[in-house]
Amino acid sequence: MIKNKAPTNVIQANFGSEFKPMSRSHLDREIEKLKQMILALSALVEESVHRAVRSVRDNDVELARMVIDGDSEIDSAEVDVEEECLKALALYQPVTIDLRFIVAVLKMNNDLERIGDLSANIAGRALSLAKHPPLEPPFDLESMSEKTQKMLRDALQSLVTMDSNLANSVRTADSAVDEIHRATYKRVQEEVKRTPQHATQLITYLSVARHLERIADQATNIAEDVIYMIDGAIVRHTPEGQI
Amino acid sequence: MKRFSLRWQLTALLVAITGVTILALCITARSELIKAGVREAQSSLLQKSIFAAKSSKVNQVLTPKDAQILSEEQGEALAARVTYILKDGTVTADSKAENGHLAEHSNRPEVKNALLGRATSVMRYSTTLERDFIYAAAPIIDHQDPVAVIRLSVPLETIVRSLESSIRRVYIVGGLCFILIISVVYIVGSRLESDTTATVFALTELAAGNILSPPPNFSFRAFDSIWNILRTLRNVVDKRADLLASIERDLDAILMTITDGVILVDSSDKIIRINGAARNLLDLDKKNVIGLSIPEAVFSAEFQRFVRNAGARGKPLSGTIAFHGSSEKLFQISSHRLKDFDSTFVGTLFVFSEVTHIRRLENVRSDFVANVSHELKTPVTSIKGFVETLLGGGVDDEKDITRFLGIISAQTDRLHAIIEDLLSLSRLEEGQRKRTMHLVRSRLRPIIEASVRECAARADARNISLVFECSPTVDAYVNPGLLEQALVNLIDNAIKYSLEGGRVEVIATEGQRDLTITVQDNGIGIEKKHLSRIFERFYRVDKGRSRDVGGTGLGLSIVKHIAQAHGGFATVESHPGKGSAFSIHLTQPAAEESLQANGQDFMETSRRM
Repeated sequence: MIKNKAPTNVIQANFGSEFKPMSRSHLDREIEKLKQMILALSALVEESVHRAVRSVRDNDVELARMVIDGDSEIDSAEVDVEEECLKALALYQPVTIDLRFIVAVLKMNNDLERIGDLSANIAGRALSLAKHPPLEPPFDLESMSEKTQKMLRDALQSLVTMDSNLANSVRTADSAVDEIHRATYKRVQEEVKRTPQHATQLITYLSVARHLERIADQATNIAEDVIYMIDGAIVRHTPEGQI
Repeated sequence: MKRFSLRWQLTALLVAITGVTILALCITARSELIKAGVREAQSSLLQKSIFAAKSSKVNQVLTPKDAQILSEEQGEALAARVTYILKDGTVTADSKAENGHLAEHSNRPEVKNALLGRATSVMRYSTTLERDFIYAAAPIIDHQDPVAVIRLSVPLETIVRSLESSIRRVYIVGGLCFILIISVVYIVGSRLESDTTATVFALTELAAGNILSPPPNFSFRAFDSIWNILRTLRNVVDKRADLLASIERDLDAILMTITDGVILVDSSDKIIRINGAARNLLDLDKKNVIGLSIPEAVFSAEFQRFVRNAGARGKPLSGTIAFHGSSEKLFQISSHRLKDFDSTFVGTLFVFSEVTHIRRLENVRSDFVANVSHELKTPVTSIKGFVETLLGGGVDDEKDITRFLGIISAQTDRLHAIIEDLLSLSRLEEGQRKRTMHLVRSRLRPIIEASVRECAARADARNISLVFECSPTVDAYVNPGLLEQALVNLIDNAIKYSLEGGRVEVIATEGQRDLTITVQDNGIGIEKKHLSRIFERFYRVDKGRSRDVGGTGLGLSIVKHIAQAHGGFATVESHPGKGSAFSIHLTQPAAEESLQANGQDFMETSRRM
């Protein structure tokens, strides 16, 4: 009995001292790779949003086409990130912070892809706006898009720096964008009554505002994923300032 | 495993070696001493026995009673046991035996030999007394014939005991030697240890880059030379470190001074160097990016794409990329892969500079050429058309001719105005370049009043109320004629782009060191995307409309240049549908002008020194 037991102990000791650190560094490398991939994807998405907004602002049909065509690049990057996440989960069975990181990346990946779709939609609106005589947007497109892009940028920055404070600030910024969207809705309602000949453009602008508002929501989701990753707390359904 | 210190290691080793040696010596000495003692005792016993045999009388020996007395006498005298043995082996007397019989002794080897006439000594175990004994036997000769044997015996113990003190002395000397050796070894070991400790300490200090302390007193000369080598090594290391530090300092100075952004990444694409220009261009501020990868540090898809391509191509790469941080920028960027002496890849260098401005100027220039041709061509075409019609002679009606000539006159005026404006622009530019602008201190209010008066008729015609607001005491260093021209241009524009019944205000506000004159209207306003280019020559917000309302397309450009000629600048703020506000900002040198000039002189002289 005793003789049988001794070798088992030896094997366990080997597992403890040699096998584990080796797999650890593999996992570290994998996580580093995932981080680079999600950062590359987020930069692509951010660029796409920026261009989409500019295409609306400048009536730039060419730029809008570029955004719409660029969506496929975002989609394929999303698929790559997802496959890499699944690979990491299957191969290394990560725990604690590593597991949370991969789960957060998976969710962020979805959010980013969705933002890519929304910005393609905005570019689509730019195309339809270009078909009609130009009209000033019924809302402050510049400041709304700036706020939205700042939220998106901060959310992604908080991922890079692992800064949960920054992520929290993104959550609080969301209400300002929501406010602009609500105001736009009222404004469009009035304007349509006043100048029914501009109804098409006004409604198109309203949908641009709605897409921007959705992007801001997705940025908030990303920020929440970052908070989950850093603190391990799920803050999705708690009001801000209660964590 | 616990490691013992040097002196203990040395001592332990020497304890083992000397211990074994001295022990072996002592044991050998003891056994040799005993051997020698026994040999000596044997030979003396033999002599004794021969002597006793010669001095013994045969008769006495043969009678047991006498023999007993004799044996006891002799035993006392010779300090041995004395035994008499007859030829047949019977013992007649024994000095130590109790009266009882002794066994027959003829078979004892010494006795056998003695009976054959040879005196012999042996060492053997006595079965009688159950101890080791030395025996010596000699024949007692009667008439050439051995009749009996006298045997002497002494226990070995007695002899050994007599040697005991000598052996003890050997042991004591051995022990003393041992202690001496060990103490010497311990002392030497201690010194060796303290020397090595000091050397090791010095080496550690050297490795840590600390200053080498003065050498301690070494017990061994070898360590002095080691210390000297260390000192030389230290100097070499110091020189290298100084060299490295100076290279580093020079490199930092170079990187900080150049206006191009420089980023250096290592072979695993982590940033190892970045200069201030790169931080400014990429809006990184003080953020710590050393050790981050480019995607982590620079949040721009185009930049990242370029970096990826540069990595994949493995060749120098250059291109233009758009970057949008706090503002839209265009970068001209190039990459260079860095190789070590043995051509292993060690990193990539990215150098980039902002070309936004250059690109913008290129656009402005090409637009200007296109616009100026267009602006000049329109009136010329019109004039040409009407003149050809008139020359063709098909028009007879006096009224038509007058109308045509009127149009030609108007277009000529327009052409004249454009050329006039271009000329005044070039004069302004030249004046700015050569600094020949003549500025005088004058009241501001009359200038504004004059320009408002000039535009009043046009304002009335469109039913626009034109008001101005300026404190009568404001003074400014201006060129009154030019400032009036600028204000007339602005007011004229405001009237043109206002709706019927609108309102145009001219407001002068005085700040601490500056003066702002704003012309505000509540007209149609300008879209934000045009604002950055509106001061360009011939830039038209709405190409069709502007020409309808007249103007040369140079008015605002002239305003900008006049503001600049005054050392100020022009700005615009506008909201579509709400109106626009154009401002001329003039910095006022006031009374400190002369002081400032002196200060500059002083600074220049100090720089020369």
